[in-house]
Amino acid sequence: MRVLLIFIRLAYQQAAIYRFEFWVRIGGVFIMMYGMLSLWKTLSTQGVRLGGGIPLEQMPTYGTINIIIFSLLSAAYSIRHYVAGQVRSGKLELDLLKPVNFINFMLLRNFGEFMTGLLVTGIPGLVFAIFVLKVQLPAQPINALLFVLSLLLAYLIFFAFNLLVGMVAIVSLNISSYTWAIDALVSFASGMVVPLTLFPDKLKALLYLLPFYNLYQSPLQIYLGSAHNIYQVLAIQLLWVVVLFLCAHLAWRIMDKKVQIQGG
Amino acid sequence: MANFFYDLKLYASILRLAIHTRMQYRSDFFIGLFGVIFSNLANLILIWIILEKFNALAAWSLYEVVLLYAIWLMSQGINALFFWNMLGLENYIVDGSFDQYLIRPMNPFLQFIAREVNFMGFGDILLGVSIFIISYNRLHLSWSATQFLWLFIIVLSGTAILASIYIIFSSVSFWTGRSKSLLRIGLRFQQFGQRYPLDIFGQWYKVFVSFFFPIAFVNYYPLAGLLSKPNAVNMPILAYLSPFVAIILVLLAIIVWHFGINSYGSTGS
Amino acid sequence: MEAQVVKVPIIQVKNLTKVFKTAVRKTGRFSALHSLINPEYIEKTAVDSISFNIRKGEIVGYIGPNGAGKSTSIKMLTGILKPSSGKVEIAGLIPYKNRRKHVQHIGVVLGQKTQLWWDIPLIESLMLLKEIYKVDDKTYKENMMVFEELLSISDFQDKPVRQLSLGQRMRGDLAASLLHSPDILFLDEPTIGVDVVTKEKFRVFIRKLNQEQKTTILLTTHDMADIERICERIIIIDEGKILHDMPLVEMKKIIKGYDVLEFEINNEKFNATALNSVFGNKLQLNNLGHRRFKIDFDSAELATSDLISYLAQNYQLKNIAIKEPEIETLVRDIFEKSENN
Repeated sequence: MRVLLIFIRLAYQQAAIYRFEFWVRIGGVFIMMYGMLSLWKTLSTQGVRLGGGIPLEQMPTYGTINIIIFSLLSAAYSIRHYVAGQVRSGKLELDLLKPVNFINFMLLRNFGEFMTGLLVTGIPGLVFAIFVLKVQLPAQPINALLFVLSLLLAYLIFFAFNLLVGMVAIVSLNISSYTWAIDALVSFASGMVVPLTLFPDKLKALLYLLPFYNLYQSPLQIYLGSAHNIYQVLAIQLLWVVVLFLCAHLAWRIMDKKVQIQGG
Repeated sequence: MANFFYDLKLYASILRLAIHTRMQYRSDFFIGLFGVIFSNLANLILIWIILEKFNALAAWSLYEVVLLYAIWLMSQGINALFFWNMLGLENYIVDGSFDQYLIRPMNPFLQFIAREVNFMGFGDILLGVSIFIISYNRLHLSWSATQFLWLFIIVLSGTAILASIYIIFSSVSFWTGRSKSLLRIGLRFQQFGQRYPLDIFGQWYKVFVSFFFPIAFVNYYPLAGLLSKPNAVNMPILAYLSPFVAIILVLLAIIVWHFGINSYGSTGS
Repeated sequence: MEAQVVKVPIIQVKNLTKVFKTAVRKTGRFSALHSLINPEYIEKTAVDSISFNIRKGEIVGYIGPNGAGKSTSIKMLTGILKPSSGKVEIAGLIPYKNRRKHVQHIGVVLGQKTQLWWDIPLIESLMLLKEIYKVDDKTYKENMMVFEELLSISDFQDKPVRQLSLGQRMRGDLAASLLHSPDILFLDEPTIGVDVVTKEKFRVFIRKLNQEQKTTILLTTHDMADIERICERIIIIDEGKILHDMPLVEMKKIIKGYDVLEFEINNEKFNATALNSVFGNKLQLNNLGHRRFKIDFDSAELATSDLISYLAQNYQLKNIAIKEPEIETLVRDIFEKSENN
C-alpha cells in the first residue's frame, strides 16, 4: 500500500515538473469536451430518433464524459512503449522474474500515472463538464458510484490490453506501425465517438465480441442510467479484466521462454 | 538566400538516403500502409453511421462530408511524407543528437526533416484520392479545369498549414524539452475536428478553429466554396483565403523555429 | 585553409562563461502545486570565466571529472551553445555567429553518438558529407586513401553503420569528421568502450594527422594512455574553472607516484618490512584485506617489472593487475598538491 502511495506521489511530482505539459493537457481536454458537446448538441436539434440504447438528449453528455474517460485511459499508453522498449533492448528479464510480479510492478508503476491523470485532468474535467458545459449528472447517486467502479475496470482492461500490445514487440521490432491501426480499431470499436448501439446490426454483433466497448460505452451507460442491467455490464467488464490479465500472463510466459532460448 | 537554395539540393540528396533506408524495411512498409488504410476506413465508417442516422450534418450530405475528409487526407498525406520527423524533435533534443545538425554547414531544419520519409503518407494520399473520386462521382459533380487547379492549390496550402502546425508545436521542445503531449493533443484534436463540417460546432469552437488553430482552412472553407455552400460563419471570402493563411503560418513557423534554435543555443538540453 | 599570421592562435578563449537557469524543486506540502503555478529558477554556472589560447598544430588534452564543464565548453567552441559572456574566436570566426563558415573549419567526434546514417553503408554517409561540405573530388580521394591506409576503412565501408562494431564505427566517425580537411578536430571521449587494438590505431592516426596536416586537436578523454601518447599540452578543468594549463612534461612531473599495482596472494602473511627495505620509500603499500594489496609507486623511479619479479619470487601470486590512475583522483590530487605548493 505504501508503495502505491509513493508511486502516486512520484507521478504527481513528475507532472509538476512538466508544468507546461500540465496546462496543455487540461486545455486540450477542455477543448475536446467542448467540441464533442457542440457536435451532439447540434445533432440533437435535428430531432432524429436513435433507435437503440441511448436517447438523443443524452448524447451530448455521452460524448463529453467520454473525453474524460479518454484522458484517464491515456495513462496506459506509456506501457506499450515501455514494454516494447524493454523487449527490444533485451532488458525485460531484469524487470523482476515472475510474471505475476512483473504485472504487479507494471500496474503499480502505471497506476501512479493514472492517479495523476485523475487529479490533473479527470477531476478538473468533470467539474468543467458539470458546471460550465452543464452536462447531465449521473442518473442517481448509486450510478455515480458504480460509474467510478466501471471506470476502474475499464482502466484495468485497457492496461492489460496495452501490456499485450507492448509484448507484440517480440514479434516485430517496431510497434509504431501497428499502434496506429490498433488505436483506430479501439476508438472505433469502443463507442468513444458513437455508441455501438447505433451501428448496423451485423457490425454491432461483431464488435460486441471484442472487449473495447467496455472501455467507453459501458461506463457511460452506467453513468446515464441507460443500461438494462448495471450489474451485468459490470460483470462483463470484470470478465474481460480476468481474461486479458490471463492473456498477459500467458504472453509473458511465452516471451520468457523465447527469450531464454534466444538469449535476449 | 543562395545558401538556402543550395541546401535544397542537399536536402534532395539526403532524402534519397532516407528513402533508401525505408526500403530496407519492406514488411514495415506494407503493415504501415495497411494500418493507415484500416484506421481511415474506420473513421469513414463512423461518419457513415452518423450520417445514416442524421441524413445530413447541418446541410452537408454524406458524400460531401467524405469529400471533406478526402481533401484533408491528401494534405495530411503529403505532410506526413515529408515532415514526419518533426514529431520526433523532442527525442533528438533530449538525448542531444540534435547537436549534429548544428555542426554541419547546412540549414538544420532541412537536415532534420530530410532524415525521415514516412511512406504511410502515401497511404493517406492514395486513400484520399480514391474516396475523392468516389464522392465526386456520387455527387455528380463536374468541375472545370480551373477548379481542379484551385483544388491542387488548396491541397498544397493545406499541407503547408498542417506542416507549420507540426513545426510550431514541436519547436516547443526547444524551450521546455518536451513537446510530445502538445503534439499528441494537437493531432488528436485535428483528427477529431477535421472530419466534420464546421457548421455543427458552437461559436467558440468555430472561432478557435478558424483563427487560432486554423485547420478549418485546410479543407472546410475551401470546399464550402467549391461546392457553393454557405459556410459556417457566412463569409464567402474565407473560401479563397487558404493560400494566404498558409503563407502566414509558414512565416510563423519559420520565426518560431528560429527563436527555438536560438533558445536551444542558450539553454542547451 | 586560410592564410594566417602565425602569431595569432587559432583558438582564442577569453573569460568564457556559461550560466544555466534551472527550475528549482520546492519542498513542502503543496510544493508540487506551487511549482505548477509559480515556478522558481536558480542559476548554475557550468563554465566560469575560462581563458586559454591554442596555436595551430597543437594537440591539447582537455581533462576533468564528469560534470566539470568540459562538454559545455566544447559546445561553445563548436558553436552549439551561445556563451553567457566572454569571447571565443576560432580561426578568426565567432562560432555561434558565423556558424556556417565556422563549421567548415572544424571536425567533431562525439564518443557516444554517431553522426552517420544508421541503416545505410558507411560509404554512402561519407559521400553525402562530401556533398554537404563541398569537398572536391581530389581532396576526397586523397583523404579516403589516408583513411584506408591508417584506419583500414575499406574493410567495412560497405556495411550499414548499425552492423559495425564500436571500433569500426569510431573509425567511421573519424573519417566523417575529417573528410573536409578541417583545421581543428574536436574529440569528445572518442575511444570509450573501444578495443585496445583500435585505440592504438586511433592514436597513431591522430599523431600522423597532426604531423602531416598540422591539424589542431582538442581531445577530452578519461584514458590516461591517450593523454600520454598523444597530447603535448594539458588543460585541466574542474567545477567550471581551469585548474591547470601546462605542457605534458610538466604534468608528468606532478603526477609522479600514480602507478598502481594490485595483487592477491595465497600465502598467509605478507612481509611489509622486507618489501620496504628492498625498495626504500619508493612505494606505498596498502592492505585491502583478504590477502589483497595495493602498491602506489612511480614507474619512473621503480621499474614495474622489478616490483613484479620481487613479488613473484617471494609469494604465490593469485592475481596481479596494473591499474591506471583515474582522471578524477588525478585531478583532485593535482589540485591539492598545487594548493599546498
